[in-house]
Amino acid sequence: MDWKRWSGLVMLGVAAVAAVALVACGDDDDDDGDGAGTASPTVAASPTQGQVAKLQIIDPRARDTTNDVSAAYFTVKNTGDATDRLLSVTADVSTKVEVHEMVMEGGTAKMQAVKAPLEIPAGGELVLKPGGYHIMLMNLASPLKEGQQVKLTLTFEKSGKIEVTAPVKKIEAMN
Amino acid sequence: MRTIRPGLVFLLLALAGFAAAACGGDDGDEGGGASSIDDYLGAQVTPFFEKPDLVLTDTEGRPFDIRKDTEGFLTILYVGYTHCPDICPTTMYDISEVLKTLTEKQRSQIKVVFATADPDRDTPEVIRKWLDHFDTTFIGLSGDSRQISDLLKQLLMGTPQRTDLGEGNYAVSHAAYAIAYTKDNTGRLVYPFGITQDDWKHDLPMLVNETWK
Ligand SMILES: [Cu+2]
Repeated sequence: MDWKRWSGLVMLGVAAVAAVALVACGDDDDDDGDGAGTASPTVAASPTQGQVAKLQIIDPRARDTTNDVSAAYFTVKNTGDATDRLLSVTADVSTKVEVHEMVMEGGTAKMQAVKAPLEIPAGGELVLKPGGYHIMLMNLASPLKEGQQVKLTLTFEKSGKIEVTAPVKKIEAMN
Repeated sequence: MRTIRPGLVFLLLALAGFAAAACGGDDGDEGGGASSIDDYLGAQVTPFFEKPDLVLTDTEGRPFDIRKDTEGFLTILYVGYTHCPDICPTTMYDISEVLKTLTEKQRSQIKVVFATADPDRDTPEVIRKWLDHFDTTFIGLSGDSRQISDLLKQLLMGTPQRTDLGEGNYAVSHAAYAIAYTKDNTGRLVYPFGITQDDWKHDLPMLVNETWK
């Protein structure tokens, strides 16, 4: 039994239990546009033969840091009927931004740029979170501090550019 | 069976226990460790890890004998690098938050040790600044590249691989888990990435008193 399979299973288990725990503990669901820092712009692309990707960016956030690298995360929800792709990202605080993934090999974590643009399937979502995908912010002019805001411009294949504001905060494994 | 060859890690998450912990069940301060290793949410390692027999340099520039200077403490050891934007800071932050929830007595029995897999960039000063961000009591270790490869060899972690990211940036591969050495100096449990604050909260109070008897 290898690490990959197990960590995959565990992540599934964790997600399932977290969902159960959430219900059991009586937390309520997020609604659109609640608390500060949740930018949820919805952009409809111009229809191509009736196929439209409708994207919503949920919970953008960036990690506070002491040096010149950091990571940003968010979830992209696609309520349309066409698959979209995240082609590139820019940020106002960084001159070098890449979409990265963490690859686990036998208990070893390796960070690298994604090989192909990440997809947001029709009716599905793309989740960026610690241990999975992140937006790598490099060559920061100064370290990101809690309370600061990072402006991210996400460029999608069908939906074009979407700007979001990501508050800088401390980020844990599960939230 | 729950055994695996050294260097690889087997993960066992008792999901029922996890759900209970998520709703805030609290463990007592006193009363020994768990009745069985299966009560822990950490992943079991067989055979267990020994503490590395090595002297590195702490963030004050002083020699740090990993065995001698952690003797008698529950010791959480993590190898990473400060230019890691994702899982290293997540792990350190999660541990630091959970330590705040422990009693003073529990907390005083724990040492958290971060050792760098990237000695070229991670000088004692760089590590100190980074660790202070999480907890000023965290111990940070560096050394020359020969010492670091000795450390990784003893931990069965393999040589760090560099991935060039351009413009002078690079990523470093490293183990995606923290090792918990109980006071008997054995590392029988590791905490792979994906472990949550609630999992740590569940295990640490028991680990502090664990004797594996
Ligand atoms: Cu990265």
